[in-house]
Amino acid sequence: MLRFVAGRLAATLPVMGVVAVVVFALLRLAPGDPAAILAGDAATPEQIAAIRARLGLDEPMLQQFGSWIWRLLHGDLGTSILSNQPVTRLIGERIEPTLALATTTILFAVLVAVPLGVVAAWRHGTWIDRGVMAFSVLGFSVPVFVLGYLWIFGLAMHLRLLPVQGYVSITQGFGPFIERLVLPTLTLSAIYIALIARTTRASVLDVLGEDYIRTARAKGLRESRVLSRHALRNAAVPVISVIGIGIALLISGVVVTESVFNLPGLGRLTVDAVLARDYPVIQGVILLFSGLYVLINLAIDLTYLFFDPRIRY
Amino acid sequence: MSAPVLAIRDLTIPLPRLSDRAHAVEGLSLMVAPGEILCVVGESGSGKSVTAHAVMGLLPPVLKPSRGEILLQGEDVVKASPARLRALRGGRMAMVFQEPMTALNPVLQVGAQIDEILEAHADRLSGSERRARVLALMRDVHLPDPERMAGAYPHQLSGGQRQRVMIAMALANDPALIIADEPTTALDVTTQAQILRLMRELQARRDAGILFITHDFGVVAEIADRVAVMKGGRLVEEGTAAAVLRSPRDPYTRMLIAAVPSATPPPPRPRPAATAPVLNTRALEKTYGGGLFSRAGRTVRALDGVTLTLQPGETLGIVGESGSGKSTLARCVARFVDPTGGEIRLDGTDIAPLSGRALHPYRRRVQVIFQDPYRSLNPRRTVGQAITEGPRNYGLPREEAFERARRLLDLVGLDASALDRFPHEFSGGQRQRIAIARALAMEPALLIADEAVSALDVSVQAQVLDLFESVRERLNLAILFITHDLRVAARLCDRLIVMLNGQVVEEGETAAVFAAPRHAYTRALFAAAPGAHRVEADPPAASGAAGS
Repeated sequence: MLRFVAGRLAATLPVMGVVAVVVFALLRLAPGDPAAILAGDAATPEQIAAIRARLGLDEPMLQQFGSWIWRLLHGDLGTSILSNQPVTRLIGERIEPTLALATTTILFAVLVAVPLGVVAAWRHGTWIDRGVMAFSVLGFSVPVFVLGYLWIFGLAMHLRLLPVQGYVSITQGFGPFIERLVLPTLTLSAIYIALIARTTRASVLDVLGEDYIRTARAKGLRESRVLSRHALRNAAVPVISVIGIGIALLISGVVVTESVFNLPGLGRLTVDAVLARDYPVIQGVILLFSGLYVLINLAIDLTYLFFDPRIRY
Repeated sequence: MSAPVLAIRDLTIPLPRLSDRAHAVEGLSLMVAPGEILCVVGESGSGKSVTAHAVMGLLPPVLKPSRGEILLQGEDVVKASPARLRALRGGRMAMVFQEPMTALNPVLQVGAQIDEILEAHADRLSGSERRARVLALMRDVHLPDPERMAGAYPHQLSGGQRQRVMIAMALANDPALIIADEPTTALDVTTQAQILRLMRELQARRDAGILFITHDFGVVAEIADRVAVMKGGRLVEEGTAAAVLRSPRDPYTRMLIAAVPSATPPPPRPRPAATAPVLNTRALEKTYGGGLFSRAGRTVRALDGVTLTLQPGETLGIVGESGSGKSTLARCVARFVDPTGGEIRLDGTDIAPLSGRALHPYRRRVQVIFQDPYRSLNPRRTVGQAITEGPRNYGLPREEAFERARRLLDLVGLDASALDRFPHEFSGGQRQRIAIARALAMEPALLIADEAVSALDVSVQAQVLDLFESVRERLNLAILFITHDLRVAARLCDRLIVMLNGQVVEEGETAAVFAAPRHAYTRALFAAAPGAHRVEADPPAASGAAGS
């Protein structure tokens, strides 16, 4: 198994390499010039050229790529064109809200969706099942920004239960921190609840038809035990896969939610950087995300081991 | 006689509307005394499994008894509350299922699965007491090294060991009644014999009543005290095992017993003089593993130097247990897998090294009929499409292909109207006929039947074996007949090969092998065949009755 993990980690390197090349090339192929944006509307071509020279954007493409990679290998993601700050520091400042929101969202989604899916499968064909399914269609179809503003309108403005938007770091107290995460979490988790509940239902429904479920009932076990110990654990592998995909999708999903709730996270950083053609920041964030994707996938593959003893790497 | 453990009185279970008959079980009355084994015998659809599940209260919600009672030590199971039923299940009655691989939870250690039934019922036991009891139970069913095996997962055990775990589980709370639903059907003959012996031994020691569901009169002869025969949801005959086996009263019982293939082969039939063989293999080998990336030393020799010859119009039986390599042999000859060594000569050409396009002309010459007709036919294609696809793939025009399909359906005893219907509209036996017609449509020289009658009821099995015989006669086909069942092999095969661990351990004319098996393993197979002991103990009566 250690060999498997080492192999997978080693395989990360070529993946990241390809990502680096593609991101670098795509950004340069996209229209828009950071120097022109930085210089402002009234700038003369000479001023723009001067900025380009200062940023090193007038060097040949290969040379730019070479020096970027060289610094990358030394742990330096470069300096933001827009704010003139190191990209690593920018990411470090912005990563906490994103991680916090992603964690609360996925935890909340799993805690709600898995029981919903199990109960829907157990009471297959009844109004409970149909209710869960209807709810999940709703969860899939309501856009994040609509849901977000509905929550703000209902819970924050009308009932005044929660703050409208903003972010407080966990270092300033857990209460205020979690208070400001409730609405974004409710908003962002809807689609993941729908996704995970549907998958859990289908997977548990499959497993409930298996012989060992009949064996468990023949032993005189309670239904709750049949479901939790025998059905759910066997149904876990597809559910875990979907949760993994969910975590990966979440990273892109936070962008809109962070805008709606004004959270100073990576999503906002990325949007601002794209608008300003802030190449080093975009490159840094995308590299970080792709690294996270690879690690999430590895973590998912390793969780299979825990749930299914037949899987061996 | 002491009070019965189980008394079923006038049990009637209606089937949902639009089923092919009104009742799954109708007016059934049965009794099981303490220490008694009652065998309930019947074919698919006889209602025997529904009865077993009704006793356990495990029927699907659409099936509900409409009349009658099921008394477990005097307590009516039909009227029991869900909580009471849970207490009875696993406590006073327990069940052993047919397929131990699927009946055990694949992701839990077997020790934990046995422990669970103790935990659910004997809640006064502490954790360590339960642990001791689990190990004692595992020793009772003769599982080796219980301490270690309790931590194993089902896929790490053999089929027989898994069924022993199931039995240990059933015995956990000393139930008064054990229901065994075809507990040995999925096992090899030698394993089956061991499990039957184990059940006898345990039952004698514990005085539990056993309701034993089976379709096999060989097993009945081996284990039953009394027999009840069911057909179409009704009881057609009941009596002591000796009486029913020796002098069955009901014509259906007589038919069932007669349909069990006799273990005495018929006299050798006259065969055409040896001509050029259709198939001969020389030193055929198939080794799995041992590739560049596999761990050192983890290779499996599935086939180890198999040499055989098969003439046109001849049936060669390949007999062996799971893991003997008989199915690998079939797959190699049909070239579904690549052999790692040796020759496969088909009409004189070595097809072992061929692949892809070079193999194409030979593919049609070898056709395979698989074990499970429910899964070997594509459910989304009509029978006509299934039969004509192969010939059309080899360039036969559509009209001619359908003409041939009609002729073949007639040959296998089906109506031409079957062409436009789908596989699910047919019974198991009919589907296997379709599979045979499909194979014949390619006009093969060699037919491989891989356990082709194992999934069928005995009466249907006899008909399909007849069909194989008539097809062989009419088309002068060579048949490679792979089976685990010696009785089936005796019925159809001219010659036999017995395989063990990828090697041929015995080979000869069927009658000669049966009369004087040379290899110890062949003798063990014969000894393990269900019903064999009864024959030795009581030859004149059992020869016809036990059908073995």
